[in-house]
Amino acid sequence: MKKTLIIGCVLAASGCASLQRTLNAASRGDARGLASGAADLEAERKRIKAKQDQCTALEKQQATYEEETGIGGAVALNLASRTSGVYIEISPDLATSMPQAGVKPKPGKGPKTDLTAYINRIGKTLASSSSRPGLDWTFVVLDSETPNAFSAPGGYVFITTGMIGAVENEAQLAAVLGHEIGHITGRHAMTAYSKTKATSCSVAMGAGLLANAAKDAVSLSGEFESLMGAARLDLNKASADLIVKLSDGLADELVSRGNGPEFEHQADAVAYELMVFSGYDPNEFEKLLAKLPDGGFLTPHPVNKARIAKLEPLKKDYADWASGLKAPALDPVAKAVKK
Amino acid sequence: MTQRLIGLAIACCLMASPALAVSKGGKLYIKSKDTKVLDKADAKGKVVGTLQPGEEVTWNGADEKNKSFHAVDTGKVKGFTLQTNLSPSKPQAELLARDNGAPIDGKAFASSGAATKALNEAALKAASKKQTKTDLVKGIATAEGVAASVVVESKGGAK
Repeated sequence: MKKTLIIGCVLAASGCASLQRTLNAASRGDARGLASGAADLEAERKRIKAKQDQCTALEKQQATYEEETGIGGAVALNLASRTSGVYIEISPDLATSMPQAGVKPKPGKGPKTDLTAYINRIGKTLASSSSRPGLDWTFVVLDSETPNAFSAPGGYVFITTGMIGAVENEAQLAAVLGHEIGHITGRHAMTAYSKTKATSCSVAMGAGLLANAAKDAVSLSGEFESLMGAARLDLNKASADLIVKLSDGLADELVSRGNGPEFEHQADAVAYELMVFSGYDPNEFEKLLAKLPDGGFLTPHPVNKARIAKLEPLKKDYADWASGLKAPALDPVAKAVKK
Repeated sequence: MTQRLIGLAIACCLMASPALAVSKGGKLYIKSKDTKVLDKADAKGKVVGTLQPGEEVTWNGADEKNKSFHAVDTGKVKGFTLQTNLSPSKPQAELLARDNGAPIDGKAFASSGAATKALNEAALKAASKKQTKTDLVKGIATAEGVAASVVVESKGGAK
């Protein structure tokens, strides 16, 4: 519907010249001019419809791993830039092994990077039980007192120091990370991305058709045109304008609308299952939900009561599996960020 | 039409289904390298088979006395393995642009070395265009380095 409106607006704008000619011919009583104008308008309509169809086809095209990680990295930076930044202090030995990251050792600061390593140990253990164990998973700690966690396509999971401070044990931490893993394995944001891509394409195509189109609009529509000719989109070869347009669009969509209740419940179910298969007591998930505020922090979520209710069937299904699972105490590096 | 069907089949392969609990006789997947299958539900049991990530087994339930051990049938041997060596999910296929978007099964993908993400060119172009803070880019790149250095202990899970 949204795309139809966009293309309709564009059609009205780009068809203005043809429309004006047609109206002029009508006012003069020029039958031939009228027929010619009507034919021009029809040709214009068909041309724009063909472009719209091409854009719609983009929505159905499954993104490759490279496209997913390309948009994922850009969205990860976009979302993280809305927070206070990355919480990371590297121990000297680790810094020496990573000169490419431009990280300088902070002698005497102690093992504070161990928090990132600790979160990655838990996250990667959970991800190894997921349906995408081969992804290059990265778990990033953000320096923010607001309890929050979110993810970006391709394997980026973010958790704030506030959320680490809010959990009571490692199993609850696993629940938070497992939920975000569920969004990535389910390619939930990629569903929104496909829509963003198709809508951006429609807008760019329309803008590019305008008689007085700006240079940028023409360039972007040309880029979409060439993308549609290629078998698969390679964002690494795309212009910065296009990448920013797509990543901004997706990040805004995720922040304003979230993944939607269905995908949130799916991510909860994945988290529950990953906890069981990684040795964590899944009952801790419910305990965590019961104490977190409703609705999510950065992105909207269903109310916790509904989320807990959706876990009930899993509790029954996994009763046999869940006995004897553990809720280990948090590592001291995580306890250190608790207030 | 054929292309549509192929597209649908690929999409189905790639989409993760919601979690579904496995029941006895159902399929589970090995997630740990060199997973040992033992003749009894005890760490001191005799090794009767060794399995690799992505291999499918039939799950025959948790051991009555030692619930961290689960009975599995590999198709060749029957035995017991730790719960934390098992995964409920078959590794999903991935599409690789370098192969013109052809699907590669999850098991092969994991060992192909294709999953080298880092903040790639696309992400860095966007960061440059948006003038993202250098500290943020470096911070995420650093976290990626830390993540890469973390190797999940195959017999791990909650300690």
